[in-house]
Amino acid sequence: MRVTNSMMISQLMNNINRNLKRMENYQYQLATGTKLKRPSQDPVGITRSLQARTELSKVQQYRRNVEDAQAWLTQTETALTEMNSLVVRAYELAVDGANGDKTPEDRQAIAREVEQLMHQLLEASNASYAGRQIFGGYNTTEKPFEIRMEDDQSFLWYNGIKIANLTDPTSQPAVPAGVGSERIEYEIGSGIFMDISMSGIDVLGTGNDNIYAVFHELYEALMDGTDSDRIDESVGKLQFQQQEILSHLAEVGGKTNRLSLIKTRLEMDEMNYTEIKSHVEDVDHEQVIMEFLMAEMVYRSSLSVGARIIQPTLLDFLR
Amino acid sequence: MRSTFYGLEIARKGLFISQKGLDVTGHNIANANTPGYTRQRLVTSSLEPATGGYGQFTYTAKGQVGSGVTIQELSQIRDKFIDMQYRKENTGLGEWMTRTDALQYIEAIFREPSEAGLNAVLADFFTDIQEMAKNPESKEIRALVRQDAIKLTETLHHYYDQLIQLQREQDTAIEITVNRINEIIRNVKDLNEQIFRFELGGDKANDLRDKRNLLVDELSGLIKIEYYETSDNKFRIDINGMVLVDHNVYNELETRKDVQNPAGEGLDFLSSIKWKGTNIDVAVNGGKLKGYLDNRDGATNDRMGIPYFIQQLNSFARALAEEFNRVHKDGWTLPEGENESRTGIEFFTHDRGQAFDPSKITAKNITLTQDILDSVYNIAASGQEVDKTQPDKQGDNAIALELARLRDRKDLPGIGNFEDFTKKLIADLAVESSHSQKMLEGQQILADSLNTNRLSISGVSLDEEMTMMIQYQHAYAAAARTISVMDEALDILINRTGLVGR
Repeated sequence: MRVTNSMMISQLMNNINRNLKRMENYQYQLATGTKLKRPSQDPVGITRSLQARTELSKVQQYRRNVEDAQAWLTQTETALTEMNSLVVRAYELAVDGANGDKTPEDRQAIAREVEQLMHQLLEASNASYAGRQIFGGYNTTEKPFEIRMEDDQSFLWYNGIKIANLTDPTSQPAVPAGVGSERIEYEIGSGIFMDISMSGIDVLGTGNDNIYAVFHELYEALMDGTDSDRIDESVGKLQFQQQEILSHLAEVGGKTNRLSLIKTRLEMDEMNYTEIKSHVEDVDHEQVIMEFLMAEMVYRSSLSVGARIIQPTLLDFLR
Repeated sequence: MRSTFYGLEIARKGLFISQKGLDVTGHNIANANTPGYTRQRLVTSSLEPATGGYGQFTYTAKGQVGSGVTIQELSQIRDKFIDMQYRKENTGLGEWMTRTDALQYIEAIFREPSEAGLNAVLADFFTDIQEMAKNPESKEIRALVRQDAIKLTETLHHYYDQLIQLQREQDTAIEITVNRINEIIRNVKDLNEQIFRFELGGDKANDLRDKRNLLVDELSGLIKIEYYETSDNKFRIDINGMVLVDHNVYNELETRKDVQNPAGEGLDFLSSIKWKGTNIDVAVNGGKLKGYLDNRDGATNDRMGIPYFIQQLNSFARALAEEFNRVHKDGWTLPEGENESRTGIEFFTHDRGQAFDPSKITAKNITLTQDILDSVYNIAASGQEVDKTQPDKQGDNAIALELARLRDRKDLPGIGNFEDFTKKLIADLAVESSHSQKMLEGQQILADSLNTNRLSISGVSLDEEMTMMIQYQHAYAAAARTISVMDEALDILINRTGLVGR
């Protein structure tokens, strides 16, 4: 093949350009830390990378949901535990108060402690987490339980509905069906929902079985101070209610355990997807630096060879 | 009988030829870097002995010597076959170059993978809805949902606008290219006439041919052409069998704004390419023009142009608005101030003044409804009416959960799954762009190697020219010396003959 100057120069330019382009590519990778400048550099990789990003976004969201659910249930558990200790204390006081050797004055003193327990119970039933009511069902903004008078009678109200008559235990209000059936669910995995709500009615009960009403009745009986049978009635109800609270606690505990398991799995998923994403997108610095140095070497030699090729012609050697 | 000054005449021819050779060498060296220049060679031949004459002067003796040298022609060293191959590959090169440019530009528009691409914005939006499901009463989180919904619609608008802008640029490029083709063919026609006239005298119009070859090279990059030169030196270029230039006759092309934009209705008309003054479309089978047309009009899977991507985005926007609204309409808003809890509220719309019609949604017009813009409490997260008279039951998140579930749905009409769809769009683009880049690379290597072949044959080698120069220089010196010798011989003959014994 005949070699001409213009041919050599155009080939040299092509080669230098190609080498420089390769260097530029490695330089970009090192400077940004990512292999993918454009999807077309790795059409298969980009699909995997986008898939991993989507999954990562979902998994992270589910993990946040799980964490929020855990915090919510922990708060529920705290409130239930407190209620449990209140009921246990009220039980002790009732047993103590039912003793035949107690004078009416003794019983009234006990009644004042029961009164304190009533306040604490109301507070625990209106427990909130991050400004949201725990036992209110869909009512998350206002305290679900309150004591309010109507027609000279004192009632316990739940979300604006009378659930227990405190003044006259013999005429209990009818609680409409469906109250307390409101459920709040969190999505804790693709298509997996968990009911994290606990209705205040389920926990406290209605009518004469309502814990607050039982406390109130105990208080009234103790204040009266003469009828130890009446006090005794409360003992049985309190025992039953404590069992109820314990079963609610067990339910919350079960959910918390399940959430812990799911969280562990989500964290593993998160790690896997991060790894996949990183594998496709991120630069292996050691390797790229080596490749960059090699490209640089080739580039330098093409430049130096170029300088030698272009310069001399026969002209240089003629007198 | 040899004439007295016959030898001088031979030497004189030698001098002239060497001078001419030096001129050609000089011309070659001067044009060593001129694009399209083809090296020239002085082709010489020896002259036959001077026979003939009349009567007693007729000289037919043995030992005849030729009468010197003459110029056969001033030829160009060029391989027409390589030209043809180069131009064929150059047509492909032009096409893939414009395709690659546009596809890479579209990749830049989509900005994937990044935190600002459609996939990321969509993920943010669904994340917010999940948060809203956990906190339906929170104004801040509702505001976040609205903000990221706006971000989502704006991302779609941005993609759309950029794609339309790119399409407009391709359309303009088509007009400019057609103008350039017209300019080239007018020049080719002029050169045809000049070359023809010049060569009538038997000379070769080398430098004019170089110019014409350069123009044909350029033309081959713009559109697929066929060309040939007849035996009577008339040059013709065709496009798909239709005459573009035939010696001194030429047909120009023109563009007309009469093509419906395949990207959608109500957009500006695009240019068609016609033979000037007729209604006949020009068959564009290659070159940059083909690339521009594919970029501008490609609306199918096997010919992905801008309209394809716009249509995909439109499908996405349509499904997003339709599905989201369908779920959202079942939900109830939160009461706020005087406003009661309401249901049947649309979330996305195409035109705030009109009733929602999903078929009218495009990536350009998708936007939030006035209700949503008025108040974030109008985002309907609740599955039942939120009664104002009782304690507000703001905690119902049934519809918010339902909205969040849309993310995992695989059976959305038209698109399947939101994220799978956008992912596939990017993957399609990546494959098409990567294919185009590989084609370009291949064409580049072919065209480069053919060009190298061409330069190898036609390019000026300075070493060679210097060698030729020395050759001619010595030949010149020798011819001059021959004249001196002849001079000396004649001097002896004329001035010193007959002086014997003087």
